[in-house]
Amino acid sequence: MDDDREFRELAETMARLHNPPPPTPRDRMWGRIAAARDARSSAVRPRLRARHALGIPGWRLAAAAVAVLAVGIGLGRMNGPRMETRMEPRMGPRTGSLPLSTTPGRPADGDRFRLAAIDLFGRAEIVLTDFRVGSCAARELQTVPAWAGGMLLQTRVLLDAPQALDPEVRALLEDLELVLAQIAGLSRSNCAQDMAWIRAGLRDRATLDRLRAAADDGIPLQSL
Amino acid sequence: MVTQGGDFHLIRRILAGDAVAERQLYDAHVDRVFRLAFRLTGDGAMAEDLTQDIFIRAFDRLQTFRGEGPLGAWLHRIATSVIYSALSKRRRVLEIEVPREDLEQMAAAGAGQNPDLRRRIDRAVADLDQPHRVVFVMHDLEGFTHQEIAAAMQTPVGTAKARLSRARRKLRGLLCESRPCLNAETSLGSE
Repeated sequence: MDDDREFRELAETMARLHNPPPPTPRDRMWGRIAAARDARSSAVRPRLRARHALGIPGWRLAAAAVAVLAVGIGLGRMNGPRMETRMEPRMGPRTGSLPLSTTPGRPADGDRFRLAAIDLFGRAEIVLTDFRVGSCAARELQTVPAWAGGMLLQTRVLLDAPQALDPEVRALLEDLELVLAQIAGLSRSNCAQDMAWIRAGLRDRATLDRLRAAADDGIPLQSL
Repeated sequence: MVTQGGDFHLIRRILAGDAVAERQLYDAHVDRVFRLAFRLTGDGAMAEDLTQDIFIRAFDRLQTFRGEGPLGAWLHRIATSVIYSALSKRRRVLEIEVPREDLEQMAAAGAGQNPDLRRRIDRAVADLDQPHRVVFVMHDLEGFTHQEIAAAMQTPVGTAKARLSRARRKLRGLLCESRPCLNAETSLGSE
């Protein structure tokens, strides 16, 4: 008990001295958040246009777009306005909670999502494993933005799908989105540092292990 | 604190385009998010950038909130994910060698601000690996419950508790070589 009290006192001291936060700059941050959201909502769709900034050849972009549309159509959903609400109250016994997004009733949509996600995870595991041991040689860097950009689009379509409800699947998709965005934005001038960060992120989040597990074991239907 | 029913009502208003509701959600949660980002990064500008990024992502994905738990827990999961990613890009979260000007500022900041003590504490916390540091900061410095931490880090409550226990054990080992810890009576005497 003395040890507990001693640690409580220690923790109080640490709370006072270890990075004590200043007052929250609420208004300043809100201004920036609101501005960023306004800018996004008025940005021209589709997202594909932004990929040109990464120097992806047009034909690769078109191929990626076809793959993305195929996944989107297969899931029964096209990219639409972000602010569209899919909230419907659930019919049934009254409970304290209401799910805000309902899954379409057709099991086939869940199957399609599952298959698309497993396929993506399997391919991502393979290319990221290769990428992790890759180099900053110009020849290798030339192809990186194309495959990373295409896979990033597919990841985002799956994230936006109404079937993407399972927390573990969402977390893996979000981590995959992050690493693919980092890879797609790889700069030649700072390649070594960028690669080090990407590898550290893959290691810290155990992303490759999780991708392998999801691709090998599949995604349980009951989790959708 | 917003109740779960209140969460749903607020989210419905936000998704219907209610700007006042957006600000309400932000105001309800921004303090904890910003404080956590600052505690873990020690960098005001970075903490602001991360906080902004967290809320932008949260608003972008609000329609996916299923209501299985409090909205705050869902938001903190996004927060830990964003902060984790940022921390993994930095080699060190905290300056181990405190710059001279910072030491002078600490000394001038007021009575009882012991730069050596602060440096020892900073070193000890930086010595923890990321998951243990996050759990320790969330629980012992920012008052998150075990359940909130488990939800944010997507681990079982038992794992979160175990990490906290290990973090405390390590910190105790680093900071309590003599009793009382940190020579508390002399270090805190003038605070």
